[in-house]
Amino acid sequence: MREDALTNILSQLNATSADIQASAVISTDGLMMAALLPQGLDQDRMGAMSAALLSLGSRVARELDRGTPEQVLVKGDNGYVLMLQAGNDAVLTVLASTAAKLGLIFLDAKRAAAAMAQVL
Amino acid sequence: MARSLDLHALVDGILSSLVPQALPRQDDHEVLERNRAWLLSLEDELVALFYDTLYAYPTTAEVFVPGERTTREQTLRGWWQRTVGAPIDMDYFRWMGLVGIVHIKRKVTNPMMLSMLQVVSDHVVLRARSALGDAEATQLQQAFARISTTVGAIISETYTMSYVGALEDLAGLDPKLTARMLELEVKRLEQACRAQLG
Repeated sequence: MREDALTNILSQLNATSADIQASAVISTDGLMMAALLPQGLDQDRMGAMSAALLSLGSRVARELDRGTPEQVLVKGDNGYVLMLQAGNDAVLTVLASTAAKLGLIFLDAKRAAAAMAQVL
Repeated sequence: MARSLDLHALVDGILSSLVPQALPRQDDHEVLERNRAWLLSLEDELVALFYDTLYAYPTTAEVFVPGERTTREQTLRGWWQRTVGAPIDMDYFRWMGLVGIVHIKRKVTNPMMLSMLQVVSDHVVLRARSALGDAEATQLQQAFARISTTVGAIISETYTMSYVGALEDLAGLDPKLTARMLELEVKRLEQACRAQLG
């Protein structure tokens, strides 16, 4: 039931912009809880790496006195990876194209993360 | 020390992982106590042998900075006096756990450590054969084998756990996440290494 609710939130998020290519919610210890990902992407590795990157981002923010971290963003030649905390125990990861309007993506992803926190 | 590392609990866990037959026994303690004065008298030659060996071999000589031999010798003297001069107990084993952490800092690898345990043990047994007779030397050899196995296990495992723990702390990783990442990566490494073996 919880997975269905999370998948539903991911569907709504992906529908907000054609530039969102995939999204997933992952436990902070790296286990995939729900995902809408393209075929061929290793879900296990993506889960572990997302959780690790958000952990590292949080650690950097604390160490450099930047306060509670809201998100971690990675920009590559082929697009963006955005990670947000979804409640205390989960990470929302969003893959977006290079054409994505980041302000809108941030807003929608933040709303989705808050909705996930309610479910979790 | 890494947030995720409790030295007491770690050493307790390592000792409980060793099968009881491999741990030092009462008769090991007795043979050490019986020969304590003789063992302590080996200090100078063991210290010389230890550092002559390390400095003569380029790979191990690289861990030293110029001019530190005297300081390192003092540290080894302290180790030898404690190892054969007082009962082998939990305080001793926990100290050996700390040695594992110090070895990371000093860039002393586990193969270096294990090979030097063997050098020390071989020399003591060789000297015991001529000084104490075959029967006593055999008992000492068995005692040193069990102590070396236990000490080697503690130092090497503490080294590994501290290494991982330090990285975990630096990256802010939950130990459960580290375990998951290792599980995933080890599968890939296993496949790659099996392919290398053909």
